[in-house]
Amino acid sequence: MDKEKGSQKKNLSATVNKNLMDLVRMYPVAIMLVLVIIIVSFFAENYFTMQNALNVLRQISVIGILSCGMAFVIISGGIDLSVGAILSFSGALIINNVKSFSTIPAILITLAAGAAIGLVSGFILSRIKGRLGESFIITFGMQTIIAAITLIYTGGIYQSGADERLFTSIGRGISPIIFFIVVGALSQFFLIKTNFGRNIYFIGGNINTARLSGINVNFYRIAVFVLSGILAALAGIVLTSRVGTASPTAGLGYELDAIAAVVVGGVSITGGKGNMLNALLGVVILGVLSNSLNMLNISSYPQMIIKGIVIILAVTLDAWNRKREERC
Amino acid sequence: MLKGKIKNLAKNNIVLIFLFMVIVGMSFANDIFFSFGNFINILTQISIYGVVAYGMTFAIICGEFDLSVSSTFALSSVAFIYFSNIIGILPSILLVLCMGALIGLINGLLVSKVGINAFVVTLATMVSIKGIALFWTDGKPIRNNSEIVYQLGNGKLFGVPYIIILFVLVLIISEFVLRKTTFGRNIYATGGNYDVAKVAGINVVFYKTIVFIILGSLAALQGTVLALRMGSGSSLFGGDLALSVVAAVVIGGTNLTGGKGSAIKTFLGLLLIGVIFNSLTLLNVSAYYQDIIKGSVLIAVVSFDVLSSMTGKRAVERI
Repeated sequence: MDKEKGSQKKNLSATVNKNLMDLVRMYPVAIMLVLVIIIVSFFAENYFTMQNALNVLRQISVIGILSCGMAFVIISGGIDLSVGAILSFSGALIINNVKSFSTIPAILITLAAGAAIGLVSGFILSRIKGRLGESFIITFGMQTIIAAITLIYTGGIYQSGADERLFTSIGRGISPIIFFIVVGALSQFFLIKTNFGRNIYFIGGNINTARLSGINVNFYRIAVFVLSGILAALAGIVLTSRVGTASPTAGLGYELDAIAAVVVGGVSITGGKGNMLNALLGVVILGVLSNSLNMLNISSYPQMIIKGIVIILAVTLDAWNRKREERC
Repeated sequence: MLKGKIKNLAKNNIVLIFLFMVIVGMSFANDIFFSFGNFINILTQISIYGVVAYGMTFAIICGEFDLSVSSTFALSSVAFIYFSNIIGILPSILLVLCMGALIGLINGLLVSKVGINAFVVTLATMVSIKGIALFWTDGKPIRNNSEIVYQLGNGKLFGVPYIIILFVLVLIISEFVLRKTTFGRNIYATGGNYDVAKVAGINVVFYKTIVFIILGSLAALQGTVLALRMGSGSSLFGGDLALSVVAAVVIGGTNLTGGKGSAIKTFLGLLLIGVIFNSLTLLNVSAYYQDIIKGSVLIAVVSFDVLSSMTGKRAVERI
């Protein structure tokens, strides 16, 4: 009994150490973030204010929610390109369902639709035992299909007119931020503290070993895609409520933004490594960067150039750190 | 025995059989379909993206992958038109090809030397290059109205447009290089098993880099070709290039895991997609429904391919 406790303590200190190491590894990126904030606060007015901080958080909340789902999928060794299309689809779905029913059933229907799409992708991938490559192609196919269905469903025009109070309050003020933080905290909890999360790491790290140790690999493969679909639908609901209208192409390219954020946060694209808090730090970094460049009156085209360079810098530093670690 | 042979034959030529079925079916269903004019039409439609697909075949056989081709394509169309107005057509084609090779070199070094995943590298360069193209033109198309540009882009040789000749030429060269040269075999080896290839003395870093350079140059070439054809360059050209091209390569039967595939397979994949879309358009199916069919075909082909290869030994390997 005592021995068990002792080993638990050792494990705990090991995880604390590991988390510290993770923090150290994150340092370059975190330092970059602090530097950006300090430098820009000299040049831009109204930058270092509570108002602007809330602004940034509101802007990143949608991508943040998407990124949580994406992090689950990527850690499990897959990738999900369909989330942007699910986001557009759920936006149209929530507006029309709020109009015909009321907010609560509409939300449930939309989340269920997201889950169903994720279920289809996950089911196909688990049947064909797909890895990163297959999940890339299958979810790209799903993206094409869902985007087309959204255009057919909406007739290609903006959907609006859902003005029930409960629905509009989802996107008002700080509530997107609350959604973002709650989703992020829950995701981190499930990923780090539960069997569910540990098994996802295991599968992402080595799927054959995971299978041979008796983990129901197919269940987790489907589960991460369902989770990603639900969170994409939730992101769609939050975005639509905030904007008030749903564009049939609202989510175009969001999946790549989410992947970029997760990767900048140090989650390995080949699976098995990284954690949710780091992924969310990636979201914050890209959000702060874009806000800072806006504050410096840099237009959106040069912003894209800078964003690409920052992504490469972040992952290059990460790759070098890993190489150094391996050498030690 | 014979049954097994036929089954194997069907399995190995699934794209060809599917293609044959569509062509025969459509020939009965539609008068216009089976004509010289329509086949030239199909080939014209697939040839611009098709050349990039051959480049992508090289990359995928080598176990790599490139999202940034769509941005390189757009930037090249802009750069070509911009420079052709200043220094003339031929120098600007050379300049643009060098630019494409340079972009490929950057991607390739980041993947092979620094060791970042190709998906991440090319996602980032895609964003940056797109930003450059948009910033350069402020998002507007730019034009070159000269007669030579129009002739190069739309001219025909014995009734066959130049762009189809280029498409077939690149197919032949790619197939030759992949099959008959040491260079090609080493690409297969590098993609098939990186570590074994390295131990066998193949300069894997070189091959991982060179496939990106080939791909970047071909994307730049085709951006130029589209600019010649349209007489204009735009930062919005080729938005769906990368993923469409990957889809064509995969539908043709080249595996994303690397080490397998050929340029001919990619050609068949391109042809199948081209014929299906042409048929749907002739049958008056709207573009949205065409997209649904495109996605479904992609999912079906990949699933079928993986499932049919999961027999015997491979089924054990892929748990």
